[in-house]
Amino acid sequence: MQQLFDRCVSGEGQAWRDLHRTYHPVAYRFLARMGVTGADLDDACQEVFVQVFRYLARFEHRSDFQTWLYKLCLSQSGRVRRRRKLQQALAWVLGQGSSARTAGQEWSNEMTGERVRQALERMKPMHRQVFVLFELEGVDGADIARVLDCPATTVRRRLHYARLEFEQLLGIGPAGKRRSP
Amino acid sequence: MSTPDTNWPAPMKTEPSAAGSALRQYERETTESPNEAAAYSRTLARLDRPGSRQRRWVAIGTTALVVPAILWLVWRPTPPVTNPANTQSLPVASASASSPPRATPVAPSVQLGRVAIGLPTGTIHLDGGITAVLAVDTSATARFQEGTLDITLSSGTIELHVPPREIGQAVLVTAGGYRFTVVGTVLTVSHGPGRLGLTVGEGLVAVSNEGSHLATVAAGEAWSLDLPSPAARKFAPRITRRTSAKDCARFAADTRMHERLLCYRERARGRSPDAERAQYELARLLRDGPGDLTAALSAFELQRSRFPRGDLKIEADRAIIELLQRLGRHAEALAETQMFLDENPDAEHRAEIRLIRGDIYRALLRDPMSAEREYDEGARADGRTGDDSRFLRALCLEALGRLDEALLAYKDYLAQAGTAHAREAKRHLEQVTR
Repeated sequence: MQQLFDRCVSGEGQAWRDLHRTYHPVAYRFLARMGVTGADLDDACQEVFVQVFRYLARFEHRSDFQTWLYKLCLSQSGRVRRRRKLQQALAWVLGQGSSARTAGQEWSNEMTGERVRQALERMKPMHRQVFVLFELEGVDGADIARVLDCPATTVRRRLHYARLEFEQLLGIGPAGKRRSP
Repeated sequence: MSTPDTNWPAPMKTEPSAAGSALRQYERETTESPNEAAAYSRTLARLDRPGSRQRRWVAIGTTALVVPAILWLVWRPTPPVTNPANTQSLPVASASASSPPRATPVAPSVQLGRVAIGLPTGTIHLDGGITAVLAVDTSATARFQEGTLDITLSSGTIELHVPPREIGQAVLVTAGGYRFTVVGTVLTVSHGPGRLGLTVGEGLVAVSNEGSHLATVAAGEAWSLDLPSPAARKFAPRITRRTSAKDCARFAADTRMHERLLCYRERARGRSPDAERAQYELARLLRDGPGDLTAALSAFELQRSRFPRGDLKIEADRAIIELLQRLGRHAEALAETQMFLDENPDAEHRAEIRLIRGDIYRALLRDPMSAEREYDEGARADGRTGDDSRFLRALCLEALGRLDEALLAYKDYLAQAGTAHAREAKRHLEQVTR
């Protein structure tokens, strides 16, 4: 992989193509799981790779490339979330806001995936980051700590509360149940 | 990523719980496969454009320059309306208003801005090397906006000496609701009570009223109109005659490109199919005539944005793709072609577009794998497009080291009669066989 990065930095077009082909699905999937949807998803993913293309030469390999990619994705998903909040606030001010909430909605068995998506949507952002990285992306706790620039104990604590929150939002675990990670 | 730490719990999705089951299902649903190739070309196109930070600084710099300029234009003192010194040097003007004075060698310059100002009588120099001679009883205002000098003649007579203008730098004279578009000429406009007159000394002047083209007056010709009284004008029928395509095409016979462009631009106003056709012809003319590819691209893009569901939308799409390729903006061309294919699943030109995409991938992005996929799609077409696609696909297979497939592809290609690349294909076939 290091060879691929070196070829990219030396300006080889095919190497960039290979890098994009390898990591685009990773970034796209992760951004989607972080709640970036529709046109925002394409834009955010594009912005991530624009940054990769611009700054790969400065990337010093002190961390794994994928860790850096996750960092860029988190930054973009945060940007999208803030912009969406602003749009919602503006819509509310202009009287166009919809307060459709699905809490307490009855779900059919066929909608499990949608239930998970709704639960993730309503999780606290810091919990969601840890939860998606650990539970869905399969990233190790120590690596999550590097992505989020925080101690591993913080990741462990957030994961614990994220799991509780997730089960609660999904309505399948008793409230207040403790699962020690 | 690093080796997993055994002190961390097993992920929920590996557990046989309800939450684990839900997560597994969600994971299956979110492993989408986006169109990675299109995303790559879009990203390359994005990299060609300046970054948001750079754009922000450009915007700040432009604002810092433009705002004081606008304030200065709005608040600066208006130049004097009359200039006695010049009036004295206008013997003809003092004798008769209908025969305007000649230009004198010494004349003041009037700086025009976005706000209309009154013009002094006599001879004056305006921006862009234009000389205006106003008769003594003339009342006129002028302003300069977006490259266009706009003169409104309320009454009297004005003579203009206009050097040849670039496209988009028109000189407009409005009098009595009628508009005279000046290309590069010497003309006299008189606006008397009940009568409007135009005499063209050199060049060509277009006359229009409320956006409708009325006449094109050439050198040595005159045009005049009896103006109805204000009350009668209120009830007068609107002039609906417009320039026809034939009128514009006649300029081609004597290679009067500039006039033809202006004519199409005039016709391209409005939302009718005729306006779309005129905009398309205008863009084509820019592409095929002066060969200004960037201007032609802008004109085609304008057509597409003004007529998004027009009859000539596909033609504009294809022209944009071709121009992007000719301009060397290959990443944008790839993105355009992808959009074309997405929007037109049944278009007859799809094979042609696939061939273009294949060429970009093969020759510029050095990606024979993607190129082969595109040529494979293009190979289904008949004629030259299919012929080229089949041969180039075989080349890509050879480059990818898929020699068995390349061998078959060359053989299939050579089995067809009248192929354009037979000699090259035979040579490659021999190489692959060895």
